[in-house]
Amino acid sequence: MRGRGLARRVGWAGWTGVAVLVVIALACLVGPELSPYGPDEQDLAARNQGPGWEHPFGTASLGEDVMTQVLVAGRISLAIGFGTALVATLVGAALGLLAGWRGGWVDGALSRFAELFLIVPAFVVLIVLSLTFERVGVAEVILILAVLSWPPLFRLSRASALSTRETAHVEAARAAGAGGGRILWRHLLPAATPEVASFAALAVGVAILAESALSFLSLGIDPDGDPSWGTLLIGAPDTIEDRPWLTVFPGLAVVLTVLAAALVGDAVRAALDPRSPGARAPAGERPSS
Amino acid sequence: MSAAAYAGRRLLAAVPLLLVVSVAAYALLYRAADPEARLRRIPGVRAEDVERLVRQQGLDQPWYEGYWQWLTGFVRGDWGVSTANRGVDAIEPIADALPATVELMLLATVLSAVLALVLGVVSARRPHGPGDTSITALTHLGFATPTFLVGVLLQLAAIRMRDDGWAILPFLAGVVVMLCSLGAALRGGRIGRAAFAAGLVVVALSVALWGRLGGDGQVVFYTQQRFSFGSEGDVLSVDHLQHLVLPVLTLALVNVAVWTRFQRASMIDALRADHVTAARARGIPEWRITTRHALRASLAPLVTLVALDLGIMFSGAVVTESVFSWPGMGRLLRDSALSRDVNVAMGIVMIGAVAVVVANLVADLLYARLDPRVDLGNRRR
Repeated sequence: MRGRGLARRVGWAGWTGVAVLVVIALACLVGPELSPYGPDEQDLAARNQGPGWEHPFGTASLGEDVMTQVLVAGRISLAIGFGTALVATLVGAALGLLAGWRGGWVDGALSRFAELFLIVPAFVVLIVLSLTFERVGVAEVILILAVLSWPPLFRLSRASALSTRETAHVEAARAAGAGGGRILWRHLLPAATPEVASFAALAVGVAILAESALSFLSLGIDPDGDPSWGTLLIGAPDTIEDRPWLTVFPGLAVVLTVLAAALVGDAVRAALDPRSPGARAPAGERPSS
Repeated sequence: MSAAAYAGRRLLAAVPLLLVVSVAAYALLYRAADPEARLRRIPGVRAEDVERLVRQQGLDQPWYEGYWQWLTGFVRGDWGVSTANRGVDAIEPIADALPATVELMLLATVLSAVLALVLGVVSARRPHGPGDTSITALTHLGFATPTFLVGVLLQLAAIRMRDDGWAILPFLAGVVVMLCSLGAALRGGRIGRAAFAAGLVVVALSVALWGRLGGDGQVVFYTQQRFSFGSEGDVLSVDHLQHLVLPVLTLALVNVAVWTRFQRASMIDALRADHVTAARARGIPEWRITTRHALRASLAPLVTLVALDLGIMFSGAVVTESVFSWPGMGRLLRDSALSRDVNVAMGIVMIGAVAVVVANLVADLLYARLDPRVDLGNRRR
């Protein structure tokens, strides 16, 4: 019964988001294997062609199939999106719950530490960090973006733990002899889950956006390695007029993925938190102005 | 606690944070900086000049000594030299870039605050109604589009406008209206369908008028730089305005997307409050309830966001400035970071951090002003 209610509360927008994410992820995983072209395979007879039957997304300057490129790049972009969200959520939620639960100097120290990352504008952090690596790969980008995304998650889960700690059912659990670990695991964590899970879903999209912006500034993932959606879009200002398909398709991939992640985020909150009016603002921060 | 005492305490508490930020930034930039390797590759650069540059940046010593030298200079107003700018004082390029950034972001902030306020209130009046569905679609779309893509698309529109005339403007407006009202139209609302149909008509009309309204190669909106060549410095000129429109729009579209959501949420809360119900019971007209009774109560989150944004403003909008070659702080930071110009980069980092500290403080003070329930002494962010 609970399951059916949950499915309904996720709503059509939420399920659309889930479906879009699944389709995009599957296409990126399976698509390149099915494609008759390799991502770097050149075909000089078919340079700079617009979308058509042979090449649904057109071809690039050396006749590479753009569709295959977009699908291969999607693997990197999705890995960065989900990887960043995972790392940031684990670190942010763990530290936030710890800070809210223990209070005192632990809270003070952790809060100050998180503030360090909030005090410097996001892009300053991104630029300074990306310069310190010899070569920026997927792992480095995930690290850089996670450094940026964990403080909001820390704040969310800390605030939740602070208020849950004082509720009657936690007091009851304590009176019944529950230990600290049990209270943390069985009471504080579940109370924080709606907000945290919803933010984590959103963070997937925000990380993909931030990655594309970093690449655009040539501070992102090494353009000589495997491309991401961001690296495919680097040439957008030069090619949009004559060969718009080079921008439109990777751009659409980013927009659809981020949109889907945001829808899932909204739906997760609405579904897991019955008190939520379903009207709260996205707590997302966009480090890419 | 009085506001002044609170402000003083907060600013004092920020000093150690700022110190830690400066240490971390310096250590990271120091690690990344290697002017010798880069300069020695350029033919004609003398070894003693390289040595001088290394010395000027304090890179000939361990990083903590270099940091100490930088810090003692920095607090006395000597920010070191900019190696990328023929050794001028690091303050100079920063002072050149700051007005450009402030101008850009101030305008964008004002524009997006007004838009977000209106759109958020309209959305909140009838949640899940046709207006709300359309505005929500618009904000989600704005949120999901990378900023540089928005900029590039606007540039493309400006180029089309130069070549094919003004018809592009109604065309774009029509497409946006159609996209946003699609959801409402599919759900079968009359207003949604009417909006969709209106969008379609506008699009069809502008296609019919394509190339007939102006469009004889006359530039209306420039896509690069802050001034045309030769008219540098005249901030109040038409030429400057033509340069300003596209980057401001780019920044505003991105902000509006997020801020509208916040304003919508807090307005929905405000419209549900007891005093609003009481006002309704007394028979006060709805528009008056919206503008007088609910609006003020709903303003706090948006005001906070705007204040925080004004803090971020001082370190620039890297992406937008790069797309439009706008000579602001963000581009300067990127350039100085890429060319390992440590002193300039440090200056921008510190200006940015101080501005954020101040903006956070202003945001909290404003919040307390707008929401009397908030007690400054007990509020911890």
